[in-house]
Amino acid sequence: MNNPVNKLRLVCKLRDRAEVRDEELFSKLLPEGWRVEGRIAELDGSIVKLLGLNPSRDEFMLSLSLKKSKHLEDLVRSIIRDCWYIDIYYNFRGDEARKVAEALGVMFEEKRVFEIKLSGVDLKVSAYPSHKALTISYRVGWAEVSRGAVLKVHEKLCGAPKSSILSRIMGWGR
Amino acid sequence: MSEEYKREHVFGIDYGTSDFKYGPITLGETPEVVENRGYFVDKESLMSRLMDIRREIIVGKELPLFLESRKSLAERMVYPMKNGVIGKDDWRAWRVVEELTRYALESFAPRDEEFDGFYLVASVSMVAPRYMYEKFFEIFKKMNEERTLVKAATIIPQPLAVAIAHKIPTCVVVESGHGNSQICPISMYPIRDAVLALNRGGGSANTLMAEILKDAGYGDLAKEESLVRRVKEELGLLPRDLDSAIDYAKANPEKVHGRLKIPGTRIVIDLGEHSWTRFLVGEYVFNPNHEIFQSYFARGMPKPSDIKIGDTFFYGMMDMADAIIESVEKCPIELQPHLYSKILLSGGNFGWRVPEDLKEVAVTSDLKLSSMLHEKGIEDVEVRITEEPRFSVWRGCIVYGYAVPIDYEWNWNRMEGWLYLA
Repeated sequence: MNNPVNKLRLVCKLRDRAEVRDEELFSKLLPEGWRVEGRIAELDGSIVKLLGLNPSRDEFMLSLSLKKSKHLEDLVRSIIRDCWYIDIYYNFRGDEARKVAEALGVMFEEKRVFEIKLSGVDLKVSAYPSHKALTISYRVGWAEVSRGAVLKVHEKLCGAPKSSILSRIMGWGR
Repeated sequence: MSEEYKREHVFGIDYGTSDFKYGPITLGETPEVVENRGYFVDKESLMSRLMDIRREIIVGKELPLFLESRKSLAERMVYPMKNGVIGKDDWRAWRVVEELTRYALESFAPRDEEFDGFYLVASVSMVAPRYMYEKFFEIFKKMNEERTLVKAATIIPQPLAVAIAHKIPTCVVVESGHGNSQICPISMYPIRDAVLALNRGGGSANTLMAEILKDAGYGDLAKEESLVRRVKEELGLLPRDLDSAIDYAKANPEKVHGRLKIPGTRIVIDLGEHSWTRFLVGEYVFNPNHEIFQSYFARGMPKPSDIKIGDTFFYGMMDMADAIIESVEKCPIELQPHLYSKILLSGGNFGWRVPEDLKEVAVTSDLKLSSMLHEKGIEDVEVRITEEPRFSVWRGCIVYGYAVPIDYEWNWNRMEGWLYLA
């Protein structure tokens, strides 16, 4: 990945109430490999934090700071097993916001909300040009996750991992 | 109106003493920031009429475009939250608050028909009296005159927002902004009787930095507040121990040498032989009682004074460790060790940097305060600087808004819940 991916948020709707303590939720939901310390988990530089559960304890909010797209894919695949759906929120600022708007083919000249279909999911794109901010959200269920929509959308928004210059020179890129 | 609608439309506002941080939940981890101030335009002036400037007050990012002379700046620029408390009848300050609130909400209010107002979580100083809450709710209601911007609103004290953002139910939050510092023990709820306020914040360090600049031959630049603040942020240091740091600076002048080029200008500030004073700037925030500061007071630098605003007493010269101890000692004895074991530092005034080669003598705010508390006999202290201290209040507002159920209505006795305005 060229740049560390922008922080993103996930809101996950559980099928049942969480019966465990907040600090135990990650141990129950995250895939193997993540090092869990209470409300924070880490894997190769990617960090996920539990921001909170709603009062009825059937929904929780995460913040993610990712180093690899694959971590998002693995995380979502693991969490969705216990959830009805996951809402994924991106936020881009400055030049990055403009670039993503261009990549999606949306106008970035006035405050506006766009609805776009991408990789089979409905993106809600909100443009705030006066603040140079672009927010994008979409919902996935098991069907979308299992056909790899999360990774496809993520790579469209944040750029697919590029092979190193050496790889390209030597023709190793696939 | 569903929980799901609320979750998409929580909007946080932190009415800080210097900066106004705002934005909806969808902004992720970082809010928008503008200065907490407003400029009253001279509507009678010929230029205003020629340029068709219809607004009475200018706020936000475009404010600098409307500034006039330095004299009119003093008369027309209003910083409403300078002390964290606004007088009941200070109509100019309330007008600025109203305008800033509208500016923030309008910036992000979607135009689609589904939008039925934000769930607004506002955060104000711990020492804000009840009439301020009433006045804020009045202003939020006014936001709906043209179209619905605020579905429901709630107000929380800034230290509580910090505790919420960090999910720590028992702690002491020290929130130090530009104008003042608040020390607030929390045990599920803020312990109001134990709250202590200091009439010192980042602004006091700016005042000292301006004096240092004057002494170093930059008297002309010392009048520009934003430049002084920048020099403080770039060159100011927080000493582990002031006397040792000064000795070190005098023995190693090349290591402590303070030089700063202001980008985009020809200005270069070189503190030269005055570079040792870099350590005074940080020390002053934590402890202004050191005898070295007397020479500045004697030469006319205003001493942070004890003042009473509303019902709250703001101490001018009390050092920060004493203030924490006094505040904690107003809480039940059984609770005190738990409070000392979680002290959270929040606010832009705690962001002191430590250059790699000065680690021996310069420290971060958490280390400074830990050592001050140890010196006063407090054991088992854990002091932590919040992650991105400038934004922790806003983040707390968002987490709080997400967590409070839509059917939990505002209660004046408990001072919590949603007040529905639309």
